[in-house]
Amino acid sequence: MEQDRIQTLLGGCFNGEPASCSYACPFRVELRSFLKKAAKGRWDAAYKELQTAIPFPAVAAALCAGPCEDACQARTVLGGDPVSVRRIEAAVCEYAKRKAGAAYAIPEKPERVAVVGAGPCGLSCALMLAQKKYQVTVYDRADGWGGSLRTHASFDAFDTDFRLQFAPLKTEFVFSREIGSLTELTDFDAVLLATGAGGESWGLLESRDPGLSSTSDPRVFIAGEVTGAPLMEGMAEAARAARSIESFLQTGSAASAAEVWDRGLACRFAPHPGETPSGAVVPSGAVYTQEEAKMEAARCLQCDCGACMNACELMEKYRKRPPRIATDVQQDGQSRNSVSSASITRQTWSCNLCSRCALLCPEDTDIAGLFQYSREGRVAANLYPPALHAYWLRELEEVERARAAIPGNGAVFFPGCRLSALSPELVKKTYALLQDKLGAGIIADCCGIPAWWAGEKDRFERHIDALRETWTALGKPVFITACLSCEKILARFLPEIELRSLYAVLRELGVTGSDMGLAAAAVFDPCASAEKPEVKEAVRALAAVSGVSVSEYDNGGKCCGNGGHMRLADPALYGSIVSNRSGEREEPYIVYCANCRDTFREAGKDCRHILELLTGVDAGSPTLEEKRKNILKLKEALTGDAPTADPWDRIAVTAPEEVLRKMDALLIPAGDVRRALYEAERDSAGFVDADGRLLVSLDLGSTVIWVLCVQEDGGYRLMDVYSHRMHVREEG
Amino acid sequence: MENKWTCRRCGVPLEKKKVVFEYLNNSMSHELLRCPRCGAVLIPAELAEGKMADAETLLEDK
Repeated sequence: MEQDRIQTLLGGCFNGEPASCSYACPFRVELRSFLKKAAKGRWDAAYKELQTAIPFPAVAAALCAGPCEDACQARTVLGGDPVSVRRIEAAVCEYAKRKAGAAYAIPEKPERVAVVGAGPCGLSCALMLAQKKYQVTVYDRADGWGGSLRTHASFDAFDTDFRLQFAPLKTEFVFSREIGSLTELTDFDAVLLATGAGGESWGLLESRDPGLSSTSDPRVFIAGEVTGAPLMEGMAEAARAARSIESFLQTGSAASAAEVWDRGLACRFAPHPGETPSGAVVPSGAVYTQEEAKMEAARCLQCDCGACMNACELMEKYRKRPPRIATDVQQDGQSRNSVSSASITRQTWSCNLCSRCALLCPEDTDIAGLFQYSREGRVAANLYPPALHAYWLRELEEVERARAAIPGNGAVFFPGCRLSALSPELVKKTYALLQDKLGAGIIADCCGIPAWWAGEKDRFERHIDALRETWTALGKPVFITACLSCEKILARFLPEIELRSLYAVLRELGVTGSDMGLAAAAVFDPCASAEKPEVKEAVRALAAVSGVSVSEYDNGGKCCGNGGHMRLADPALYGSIVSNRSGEREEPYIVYCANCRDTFREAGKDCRHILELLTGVDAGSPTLEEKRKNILKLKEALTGDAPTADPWDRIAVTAPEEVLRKMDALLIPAGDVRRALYEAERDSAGFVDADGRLLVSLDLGSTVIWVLCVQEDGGYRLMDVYSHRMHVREEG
Repeated sequence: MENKWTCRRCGVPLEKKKVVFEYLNNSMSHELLRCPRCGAVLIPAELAEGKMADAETLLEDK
């Protein structure tokens, strides 16, 4: 699998990354974790979270401008107040008991580092290096630490914080000593210049690398307000400079401390559906009370984009994050042994490919595209279970054999294979209408989507080529499509064909119908309708002029369950998707995709295709076998070519309701059962038992079906039908 | 499955015999009813919908 293509499909997905607030924070505090702890009143744990990233938490709580709050999604996305992070920080500093600085049980290091400037920035770097047990000496020309903060009204509090953090560490402070030249510091292995705004840098500032704080003198680093940075940024820079200095001391180069951290990523926001804006907790005093701080921290949305994961049954079931899916698709097929854990087969074949994930994604991630690519890769590598799509591919072949094309006056009706399978009568009536009003012709064919969904790229391309030929032979007419999935496929793979949606055309023609007993209904839009508001509107209008009271409902592009032909890959997931969709509204559905209609009817949900209302044709609930025959009937009606009867058509079969339902669920049409019985009769194959039961099988290639029955009244009464995908290897 | 089945073509009772199954480039064996004359193998519903389906799922998930 090509990594570039996978990266493109994964796009800018930021699931699992730090939230926007953390990207905005100069210290990169893991604010979600901090706020979660604060919300529980775990003050010591919350304080620890600050201390890990911020050398002097009380200084930051008091002086930070709070860029995290600007990037807080409670504000940027919901439009409410941002979480008052700084107030919570102040409260945490107030209520935490264990605040002494960290001291690690590691051996002392011999390297000596000089820090010039005992302001908050110099101290930040000194603290980090002292924690790593380097021999740190801090110089300042003033008679104490604090630098630019020495005159601040809250200096006493800052002084306390400095003492607290340095308490467990061995650090040498040399005050009232001005360094006049770097030559005074030649005894040191490394030097940090944190001389404050406008401070001395001995000409090295211009050579400073902003990411590493290193300079043209490999031993000398510069960070803090001397670089022109504001105080908080300077403190954060100086703390990170400690890592560069450590890298230099260990390897002779600061380069290994380089990190990728793009502050610009603070503008990536999750959509937060269902969340409402709220106001911040107002403090009753100078500092939040414990209760106030907990309540305010609980306002944190714990932002991590799960836009796709929260809106899709498949993603919900597998709980796999998009970046992980991308990795798995990348690795899938590389390893195929019994201990391979990178497999993604089931999920790949269980996706509806409806692309709702891409629709909801705030970035440009296309999970359905990843699964589609995975399917293609699997098929190309011949590492896939053919049984999952064999039924539809066979059906596609049958549709191709029953192709019919009649030219028209610049336009043709393209009903699509599912509508033709549902009701040739309905297709004929619609065609007659278009012929009458527009002089349209017709092309009875499939758009090829079963091959596309099966990942059979070559097979799909062959179909598309044939369709292009038909279109060319008919003088390149406009296609009037009855199915939005056809439209989506044609628009993408045959962009040279001009497309019009049937429903928009019928609306323009002023067609009306009858309500067929549906007083009130909801329109269930197919997944391919997401970017077709004009079609959605047209269908609602057509239902309304047919006398149906249409309720306000938009399913937001959710697939009925049929998409991607995933039902055999995960029958349980298929069942729950269909049941969820059936239950979205109590009213019967009006659909405009024949697949939606089949799916809902099979699930027992009352529903009608809009064309039934407009043509008055009741399409009923055809069985799999009837649908296969309907394709042939349409061809006969259009071309006069009578279908050749199959020799097994004469086999009479009866079956109880539960066996018929099982056959539908397993996608075994009655024709296959008849064929099994016919061939067994012809070859005297199969098995019989003392009770007169007969058991016969038929190998369909990827699937073997078995029929258990008794002979009765010159025909067969079915008792059970089942199938398997394994094959017996003849031996001995 | 108790052996009460007869091969329709050969008219002889089936016998238990080890047979080899293949699926997705893997194979496994199981004792099954088989016609001793023509070799036709009977796969009962319990096996197809039970152990075989489980094995199919396992191999497909690989």
